[in-house]
Amino acid sequence: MSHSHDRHIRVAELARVEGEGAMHVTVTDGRVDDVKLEIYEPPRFFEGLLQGRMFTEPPDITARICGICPVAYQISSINAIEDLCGVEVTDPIKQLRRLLYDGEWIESHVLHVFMLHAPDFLGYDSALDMAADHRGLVETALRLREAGNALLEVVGGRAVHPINTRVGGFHRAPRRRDLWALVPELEWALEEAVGAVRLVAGFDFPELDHGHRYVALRPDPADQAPGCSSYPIDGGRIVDTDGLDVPVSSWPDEFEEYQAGHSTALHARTRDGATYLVGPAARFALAGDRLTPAAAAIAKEVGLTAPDRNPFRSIVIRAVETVHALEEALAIIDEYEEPDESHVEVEPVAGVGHGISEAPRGILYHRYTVDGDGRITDAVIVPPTSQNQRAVEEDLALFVQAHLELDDAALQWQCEQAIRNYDPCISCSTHFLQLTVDRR
Amino acid sequence: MRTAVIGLGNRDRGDDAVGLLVADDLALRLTGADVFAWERPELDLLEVLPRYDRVVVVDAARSGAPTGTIHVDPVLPAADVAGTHGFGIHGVLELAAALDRLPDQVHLALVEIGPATHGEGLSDEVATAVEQLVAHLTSVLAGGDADVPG
Repeated sequence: MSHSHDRHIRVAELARVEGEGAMHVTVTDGRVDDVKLEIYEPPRFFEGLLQGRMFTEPPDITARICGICPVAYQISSINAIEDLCGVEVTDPIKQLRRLLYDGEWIESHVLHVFMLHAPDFLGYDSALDMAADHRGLVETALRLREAGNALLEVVGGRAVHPINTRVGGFHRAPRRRDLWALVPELEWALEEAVGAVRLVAGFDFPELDHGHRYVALRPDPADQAPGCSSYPIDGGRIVDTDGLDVPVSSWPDEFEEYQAGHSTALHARTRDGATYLVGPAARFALAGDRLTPAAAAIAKEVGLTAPDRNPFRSIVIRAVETVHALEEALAIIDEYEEPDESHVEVEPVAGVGHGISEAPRGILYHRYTVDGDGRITDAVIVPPTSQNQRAVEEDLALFVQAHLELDDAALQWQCEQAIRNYDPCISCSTHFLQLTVDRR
Repeated sequence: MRTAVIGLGNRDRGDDAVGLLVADDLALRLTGADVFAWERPELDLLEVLPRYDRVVVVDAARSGAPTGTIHVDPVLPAADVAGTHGFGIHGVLELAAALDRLPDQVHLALVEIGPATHGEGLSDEVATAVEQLVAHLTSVLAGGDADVPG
């Protein structure tokens, strides 16, 4: 079986309904010619669905785009509508939104770190196989996820597709005693999360150094409510590692989506044609100085320094962000006082509103055009997964080039692992790539 | 016996909503059982499964059988069960077993679907299967005997 000559690696389809897509790698004369990665994009359908809807509806509708990060879609949509309508919310509403988002980061990061990515590094085919030898680790992960889900349920009304969020705030503000009831479990979770950073920092990481530009949000510390850090999560300005610093409304001026030709999904690039990367590594690179104390301490202890350009070490950064989210949640609960009003009233304004927040996987951009009756006439939603797609393809090319000696099954497995570095929504399945090889 | 019926799926993906719609119907008919139209990641079922003695999971399948075919407690390859955005129900049940979180009785009821489309609405075949499966499960969970429809 020849491995180093012409090879055409085609992934027929992904195994799960929301993971529909394909991967094509072409190798000619021992060099990777081309990598094309197709990822199913649910936002395209929802952009159409939103047209004609009222300006108050995006939080409920867009939450259905993703079962793992519904809060990200809700907050980005709320940011866009409130940007358009000139809304200022109170500190308790800011605290609750941050708590909700912390809950989502916790359950999303824990799922990825323990159940999807750690098995790769520990030499297991799946979390199920890992559970046979590391049952305690899996039980801890499930309990950590439940701690995140508990935050989502108390603040958002339920753990997935939260029903309590709305433009202007929340339908109902949680009682302080309901949040305080979460404290013991969150304190347990914080201690475990610190231990998790030590565990994953000890993994063997393949060497890969990409040169991509990092892009993230950078909040204004003066805008934060009591207990809230200024590490990027629910708002801020857009910054990058090349010195960009612009308001969220400038996203269309600095970045663009384009049809990549081989894919029904849109790709993204900077307006000057560069590839860029969003997500935990970008956040850490651009705002690592704003982590909560325990998160900053454990990051320093394990030798994590910003910027880190090895995508395989993203698992460590996600584990650090889990510590951050837990510590911040405890700080917010300590400061929270029930507001007199759970939301501010918002009147529709005709025009265009822009909103971005930091989904667990990176910046998520929403833009809505609203008419004088408050109806949405146009919607644009750019998820982090599609913004990263070009970077993922380029990194896959590097990775495949360095591992051409592997047979197809091993190469498929390595490619799946490499894609899992970016935690795209397609990677929830242990085996989401079906690799076929055409030999020339 | 503490019983739960859990319907899985995605309301925005055509026939892939079948499990949710079966659960919606059963919630109106069943007493003595908890019914979940479960839109959370399948992995979160690990929190719920240990609370029950008997669980019936309703989901979509793509095994190549004609659209609308109903499988009850089938022997199907795990990859043919169309899990959405998660481990897939087989993976979750295997993990539950490994962690001693599995109820005494677990039953799968699967409805064969075609390629998932965008938006709400079932194909005629799957809509018929929903009615048949709801009637079947209503009878069985009430203690009756019923042949698997179809």
